[in-house]
Amino acid sequence: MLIVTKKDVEQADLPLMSDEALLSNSLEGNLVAFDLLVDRYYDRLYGYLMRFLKDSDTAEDLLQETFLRVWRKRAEFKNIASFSTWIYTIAGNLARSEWRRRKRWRMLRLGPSRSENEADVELPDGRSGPDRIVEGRMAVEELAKELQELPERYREVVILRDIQEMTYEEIAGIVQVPVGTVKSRLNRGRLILQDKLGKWHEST
Amino acid sequence: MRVRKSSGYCQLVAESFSAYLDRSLPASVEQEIAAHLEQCPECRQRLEGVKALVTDLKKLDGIEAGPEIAWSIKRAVRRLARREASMPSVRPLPFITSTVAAAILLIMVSMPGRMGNSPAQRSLSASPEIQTAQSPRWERYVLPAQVGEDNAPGLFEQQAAAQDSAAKREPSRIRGARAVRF
Ligand SMILES: [Zn+2]
Repeated sequence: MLIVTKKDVEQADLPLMSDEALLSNSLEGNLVAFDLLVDRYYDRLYGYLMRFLKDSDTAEDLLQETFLRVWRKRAEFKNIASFSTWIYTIAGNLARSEWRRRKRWRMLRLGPSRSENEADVELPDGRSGPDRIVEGRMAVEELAKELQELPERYREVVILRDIQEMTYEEIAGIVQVPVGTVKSRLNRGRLILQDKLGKWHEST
Repeated sequence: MRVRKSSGYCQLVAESFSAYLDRSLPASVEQEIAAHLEQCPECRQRLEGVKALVTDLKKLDGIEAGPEIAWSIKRAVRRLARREASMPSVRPLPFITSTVAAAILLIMVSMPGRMGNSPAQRSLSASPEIQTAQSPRWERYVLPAQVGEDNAPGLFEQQAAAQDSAAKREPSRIRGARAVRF
């Protein structure tokens, strides 16, 4: 890893630095260094939050909160994990607690719904027949919608692996479970999705 | 190789789909699954479905946040950084401390001349307009200014914090209302 002391570094060198070096530059209040971290991560994290929550306003709020937390805790970052893992963990924790907050709301209003119950999730619900899919765009929307229905512990792994194409090890670091658990959750999540969407996948 | 077929076995095969696609299974297990797939159209179809799903999921990537979002994050970080910098616990603002000390010194210096009158402290706390009538000229200028300056960082800090939390609270209130409909 690149080790850079803060003082002998020109601002011009900042774009070439590792995330970790940028973070250590921001320790003494270098906002330009921190801006570069924002530039490197905001799109990816936004995609993650959007796929997790499917609500752009909330995704934006949580994205901002993620970076504010990183700023506040920047002195606490120890190179035990990569910066990438660290910031994804922060975003993931925010997304999960937001999701649980919503779930409580739904439970209070409607009582437990079918999709809340994991045992029922695996049953195809008959809503996703091929006739519902008019074109590719709609198929993608349908898939995004079904992804929302996936229990969160499968959803986060599917998003990180199949959408954001991270390694199992990276995901294990972010979700804070063993690699074996990541793999089994991924497989389970894919099967649940496939069994719900199976009908139109056959036709494509 | 004997090909096993039962719904329980099919479930077992399905649980290895991802590992099978990753080609991370031991060779013997991989062969066993391949042999089962040849004999079992249901599992074959399910596996094809998972492969198609994985391909389709990739299409969900590339949601763009847009540069305005990056800008608003950077602005929020700057607000936070400014607030941190103005926090007395982080940086004790030495010039304020010294002006307060100077003010106390001035009061003490003014004491002997006002002994018979009223304690100088009263001019700090209550109605400075009444006091200024009897106060020495320099005190009229210096004391209210010192009191004001001492308060100033607190006021600005509160203002900044209020602006900031108002900006943050607004969307979350809307969000709360929206969450009900989910
Ligand atoms: Zn089978």
